[in-house]
Amino acid sequence: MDAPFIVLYDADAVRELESLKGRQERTALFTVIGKLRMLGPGLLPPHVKSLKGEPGLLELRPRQGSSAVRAICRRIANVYVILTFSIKADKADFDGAVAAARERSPRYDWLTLR
Amino acid sequence: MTVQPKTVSHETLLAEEMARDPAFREEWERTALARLVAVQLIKYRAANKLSQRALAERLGKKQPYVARLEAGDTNPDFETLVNISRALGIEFVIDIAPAAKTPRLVPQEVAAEHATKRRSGVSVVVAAAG
Repeated sequence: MDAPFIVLYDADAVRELESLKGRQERTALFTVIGKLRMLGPGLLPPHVKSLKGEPGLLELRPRQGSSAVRAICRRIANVYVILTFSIKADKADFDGAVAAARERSPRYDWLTLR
Repeated sequence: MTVQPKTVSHETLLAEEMARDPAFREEWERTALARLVAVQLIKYRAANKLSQRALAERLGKKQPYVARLEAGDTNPDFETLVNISRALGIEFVIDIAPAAKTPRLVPQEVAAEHATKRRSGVSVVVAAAG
């Protein structure tokens, strides 16, 4: 089915995804990202959350937050870029992912000029 | 000149996952209906500015019922689809046919766009309209 939104993964995020081993967790992650692809800004909590203090960054929450995994993305018009993943149920891991997303986000500023 | 960063599309990554892990592919194809229903319910909530609890009330159920359906990992049964259609006005089509045959009960463009499983000799089409 054609989706109205485009989802791209940053190459560094793709590498990080390799450390997520469980099939169930990977399925849950692809499921929530698939929902984003279909719904865009129509994807509602608890599937997604704005990141406090990080304008423009969103946290995708597989299994409505009951999974430890998080994807952090940025929206530019009809494109969502998955910037990074937090894999462990651990605040340090999540904070590190947010920092990585903040650092990678400017790579996609060019999309705003299209 | 702007150097564009290297990216991978969701479609490509998903296709690679399916090629790498046949069990993932099997599960992904098997739960296409679950994901379709999840998307329809979230879309309905967004259009009507409803919480999961408020949507559950419209369906005559409790919030965990909606949470389970919105998870999109378990195929709903027939009665659940009937309940959703009655309460929310969403239309569902499920067409199961031998892959070698052209489906006769759904328009070809719907079949082409929504077919989810052809590998085991069967074409399964699941579609919805709000």
